[in-house]
Amino acid sequence: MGILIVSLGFAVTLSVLKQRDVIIQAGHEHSEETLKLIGMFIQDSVVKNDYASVEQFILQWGMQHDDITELKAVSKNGFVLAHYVSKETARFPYHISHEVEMFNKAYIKLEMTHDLASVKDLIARTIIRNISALIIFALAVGIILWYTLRRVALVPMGNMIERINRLNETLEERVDARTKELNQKNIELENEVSVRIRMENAARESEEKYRHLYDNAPDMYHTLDKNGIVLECNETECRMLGYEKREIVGRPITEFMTKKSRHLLKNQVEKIRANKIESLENLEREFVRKDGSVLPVSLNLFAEYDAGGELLKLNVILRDITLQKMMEEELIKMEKLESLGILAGGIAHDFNNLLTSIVGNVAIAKMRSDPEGKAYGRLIEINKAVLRAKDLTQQLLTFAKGGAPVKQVANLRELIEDSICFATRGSNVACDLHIDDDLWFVEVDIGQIHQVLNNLVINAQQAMPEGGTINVSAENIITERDEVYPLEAGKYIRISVTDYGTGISQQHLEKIFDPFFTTKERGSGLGLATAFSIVKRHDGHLTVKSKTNIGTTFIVYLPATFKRGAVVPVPEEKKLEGKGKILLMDDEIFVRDAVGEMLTSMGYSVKYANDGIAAIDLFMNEAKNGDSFDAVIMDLTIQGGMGGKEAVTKLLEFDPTARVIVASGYSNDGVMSSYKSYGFKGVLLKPFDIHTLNNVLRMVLADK
Amino acid sequence: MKKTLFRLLMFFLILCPFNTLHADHVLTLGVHPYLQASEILEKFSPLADYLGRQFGHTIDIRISKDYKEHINRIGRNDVDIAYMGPASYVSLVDRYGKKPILARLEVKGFPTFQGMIVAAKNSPVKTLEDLAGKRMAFGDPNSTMSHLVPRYVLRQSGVDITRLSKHAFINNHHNVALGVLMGDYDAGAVKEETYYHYKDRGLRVLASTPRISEHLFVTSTSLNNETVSQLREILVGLKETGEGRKILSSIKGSVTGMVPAVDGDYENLRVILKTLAQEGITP
Repeated sequence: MGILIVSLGFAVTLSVLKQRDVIIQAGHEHSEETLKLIGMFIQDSVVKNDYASVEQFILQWGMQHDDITELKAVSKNGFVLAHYVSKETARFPYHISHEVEMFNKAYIKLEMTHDLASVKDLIARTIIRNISALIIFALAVGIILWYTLRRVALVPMGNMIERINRLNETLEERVDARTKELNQKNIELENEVSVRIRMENAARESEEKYRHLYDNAPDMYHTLDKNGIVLECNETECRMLGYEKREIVGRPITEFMTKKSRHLLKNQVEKIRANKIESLENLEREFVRKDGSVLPVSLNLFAEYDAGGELLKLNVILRDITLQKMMEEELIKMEKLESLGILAGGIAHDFNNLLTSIVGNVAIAKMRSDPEGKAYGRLIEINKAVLRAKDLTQQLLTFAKGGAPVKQVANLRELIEDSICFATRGSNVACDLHIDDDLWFVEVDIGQIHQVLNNLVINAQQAMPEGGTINVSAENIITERDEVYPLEAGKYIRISVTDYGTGISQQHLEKIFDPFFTTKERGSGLGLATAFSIVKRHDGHLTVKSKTNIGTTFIVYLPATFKRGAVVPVPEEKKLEGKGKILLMDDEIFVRDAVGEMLTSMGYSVKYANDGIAAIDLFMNEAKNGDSFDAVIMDLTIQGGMGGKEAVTKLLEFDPTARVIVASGYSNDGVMSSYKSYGFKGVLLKPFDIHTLNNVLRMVLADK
Repeated sequence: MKKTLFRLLMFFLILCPFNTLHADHVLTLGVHPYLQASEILEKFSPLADYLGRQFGHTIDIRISKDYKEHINRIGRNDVDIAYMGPASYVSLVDRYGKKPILARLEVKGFPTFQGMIVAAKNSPVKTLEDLAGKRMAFGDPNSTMSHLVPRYVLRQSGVDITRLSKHAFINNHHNVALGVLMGDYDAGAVKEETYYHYKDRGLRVLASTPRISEHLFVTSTSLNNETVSQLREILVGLKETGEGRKILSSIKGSVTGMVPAVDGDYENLRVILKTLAQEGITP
């Protein structure tokens, strides 16, 4: 059927194309004949030179014929004699030209545009007619073929398809039923899988959670088998000991302990096994880190037994007690210092009294001897020796009681520079100083800190007998809590004194701050102990790091202050002259004599009392007689009697204007550092020389 | 209308170029064949109709086959009224004596006109002297401006047709202008109106003629004076009315009126024509 229609279509197309050509050809011929006819009409006029007629004829012809869109008569010289142009545009233009000839000579050329639209319309009509005929024919043939096919093939085929469809439907029903069954099973299976996955996830999450807690616990955990082999340990333990987990697991735990702890543990495990002990707590043991350092721990142990009572494994919890140990050691050290201090303090006090007497007598002796004489030189030497003895007692006292420092706000830059220069002057040691430009202020007892620095530099110097360089640095630091034990968190100044000398052995390092411990042949064993004590009293800290044959660094931490203090004026050397009535109270007669002599020599009149009560009585009596004392000098401590501290209170009750000066060999006593709050107007540290006595008296009496 | 005119034109061109209208009317208006007959009919019908209405009957237009016949017809009083060119009038008076002049045309306000000797714009001919040995076209031998006055001007310039290689009379002014433009002739003689008509298509002036009095209407001497006076009055009064102005512009678009004229107005032409006649050139 399709082939038939295509064939017919092809035939009709060919026929239409042929007819189209014929029609167009006929149209062209018609156009040419028309133009020739026009030529014939104008020929005579052209010959007669009647050009106007030709022009008029051309225009009229154009107007008369709708199928002509342009008609033109052109002379041989190109002059357009007549030109007609239609208002309409040609739909199917055909351009032709014709030359009007007479006696074989061209006179005029005619040009025409003929609109063959009518021809085009005719072609269109022909095509429509032919296509209509083709459709009618194809329909007729199609109907005939359809009926024939239906009878011969379609009906039997339809029956067959119907049977196949029925069979197909039955099959689909079975497949549907089976598919539903399978889907149901599949859903059940999926649910089961989903439940399992959830359970597994929950188990895994729980395991991970436990593992996380286990690994990140602050304490160390490990599990041992009955032979002490590590079955498992947490990350904290690995981190604390500095090992990888694989380096610990599978090895006897004793390999990670000190010899002593190893032995102890073995004994304890035996004991556990024998007595079926379930747990042991707070056992102090020492582990050894990979770098060789010792880690003190508190050990808790839990045993697991099988049904037959056989030891299966041991679960062990270890807690780092380094800090606790340090605190304990610190406490012991402090206690040790305390007890030694009391002893040293007593000796120092007596010593100071003796020295006061010596100083006083030397001063008097110097005043009464000829400076050019031999005795005078000896007296100066005695004075120097006494001053060294004074330093020694001072140190002893400072160490002994720590001494309440007489603090003032200061920038340590100058102090450090002075101390270092002073200590290294004339030696074969150079000093490399690095001090922060904006070093914070500190509130310190300048004398004491000077003593600390002096000690440290002298130590460094002595560590390098061959000479070398000492590095001293001072810088601002901010520490966190426990960053520098036992300092509180806060702002500090850190002073480091480093030498590159022989270093200190680990064995010695532990005892270095103990009093009377020294490795030097002529050392007192008080230098570092005193320095330690001073720094402590300043709420600071002193530590040491050292490696044999490499060098040693002492580090001083002092709390920074943001107060600004007044500059302490340097006391002016005054004339050794005075005027007034002084009451001197001291239980030691040689002190009364020496000091009394100094006062008298300066021009004062002196009366004496041996204790507080006697002093008060004398003061009151003199006052009643109208001859009051201008000043009172009282010893702070009176053996078996009223001391200065008590006496001043009572004296001031009687006469609030009384001027009382406290004198004591216990320079570190709290009363000495804050004498004003006890009512004293001045302070004299025994032993004192005549100049100090003069200055203090002048200052106190100036207030009168 | 267009078809009718076209068929009429075809009739004249192919079968009978010279039409003679039969005269059964009281008054006839004769016109010389200065244009295609159809055009002449178209141009003069409004006037004929108007005059007819004024006199109570139709006026017949008669177009002579040539100028000579036209003169003879007037001279013999074969037509009652005649429109004629100035040369024809001079010829008429010369041959038949004076005829009453009704009025002469006033074109764009002037009762006189002139002729032009023209050439194509791209022609090598620049002066009249250049015409020696060239081809020249004239209209009708009797035409005032397409032959006679230009011929006088040519002679005055020393170029007569004897010095031309060819000359031809090709019937009317349009043919002359188109013949020059088509290149069939090197120059031609036309009235100024025709020159301006074709100027833009490529014409150029070589020389102008003296101005002479315009075309005129004359009457047969057989008409009584009253009729003549009436006619004169009507013609001169045409420009006063809207209809009259339409009639005038129908004759020629540029005609603005008709003015009275006397024979003396044509004296300069008469002198030209006499001069030509002495040279043996007669209309």
